[in-house]
Amino acid sequence: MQCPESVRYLSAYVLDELALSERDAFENHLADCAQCSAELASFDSVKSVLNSWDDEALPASAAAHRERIRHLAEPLPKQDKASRWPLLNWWQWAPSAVSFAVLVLVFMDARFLVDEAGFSVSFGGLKNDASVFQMVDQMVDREELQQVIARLEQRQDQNTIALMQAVLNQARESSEANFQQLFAFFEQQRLNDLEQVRASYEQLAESDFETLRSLQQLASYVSFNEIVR
Amino acid sequence: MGCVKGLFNPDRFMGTIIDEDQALVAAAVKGSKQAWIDLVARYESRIYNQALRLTGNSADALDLMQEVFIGIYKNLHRFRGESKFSSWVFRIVHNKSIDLARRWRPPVENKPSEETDQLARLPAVASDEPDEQLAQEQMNAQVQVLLGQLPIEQRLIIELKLFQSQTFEEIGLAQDISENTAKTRFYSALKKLKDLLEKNYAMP
Repeated sequence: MQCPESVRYLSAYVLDELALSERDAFENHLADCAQCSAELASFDSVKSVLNSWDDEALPASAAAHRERIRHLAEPLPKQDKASRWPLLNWWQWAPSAVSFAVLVLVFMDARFLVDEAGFSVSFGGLKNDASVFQMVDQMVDREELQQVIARLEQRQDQNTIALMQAVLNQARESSEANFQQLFAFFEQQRLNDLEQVRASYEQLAESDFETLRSLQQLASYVSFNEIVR
Repeated sequence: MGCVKGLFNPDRFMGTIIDEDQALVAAAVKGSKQAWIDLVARYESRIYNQALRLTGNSADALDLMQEVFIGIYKNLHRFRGESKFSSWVFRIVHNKSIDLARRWRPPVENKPSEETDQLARLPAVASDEPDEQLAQEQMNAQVQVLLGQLPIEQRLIIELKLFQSQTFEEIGLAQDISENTAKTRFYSALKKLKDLLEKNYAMP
């Protein structure tokens, strides 16, 4: 029969898990209990057998292993590089690349068209365009849509008329201003002309006066010569 | 009288040369063959002896050692120096020994008669051998035979706790088990070794 103290404390003692007070208590118990101290002695004998291990030198047969291990270093940089770039060779990544490209073309519904003008690549299907046209046709057929379009057109006309009126108003206003400017310009021009005419008349009168005086001088000269002769 | 503690700690003397390990690793990664050879020379004895305890015979130990070095060499560029190189190396020893144990020796039912037969073939006390080296080899052989009776998981935990003086927390992390599981597994292994030894000595 096993000592109950052994069951409770021996493993903890062997594993060095006991608190200091528990450890002291168990060591006191060991002094009195032959069974527990024998059990512990067995554990100590295991320890002493394992402790008897002394590192051995490698046997003579290790030469071949040792040589192989040393030669591992030969391709070290190469292997290191290869492990960092596992897909360095084209024949390793090319199949994956081709598969990926085909997958992309299939998903994007790509088409290659070849005609006399050359070739063209397009993405997306004709069926999409056809369905859009069909949908538009259906909408046009509806009477409601026609009415909506009519109202839209009417409103568009109104907008156009309003716009044209606005344009005309603006044009009229600007024309009015232009006429006034033109009138002012003509008026100014007329006044200038009158002024010029007046100046001309004055000049003419003056020259006439001078002519008259010259005639008078000539007449007096002639009369004088006649008198002298 | 005392509890079972680390028998010897291989890293105890290695504190000053950890940096040297890292320097050798860095040089070997850059392609220095000499650095690799130095690294192998520094670790081959330790790995061989770990392998000997884990496999139980010299031929398997050499094969395991070679596999471990291949593993080290292939993963050398991944060693970042976050842990001790010796711990990192033992993780490889650990994984390779489990692989070897499963590949070469599928788990079989333990037969007590064979165990005791194996132990009985060994001399119980080796100190009276004239040849000191032979005596040492026989002591080592006894350890190997004893450990050979344990499943690989228990062998590894004895290796980690008793030969490498790791804490249960470290063992739990290394083996991906809880600390308590590590303790239970270790105690079970010790108890089994104790029973085996008692049977051996009890034989006439």
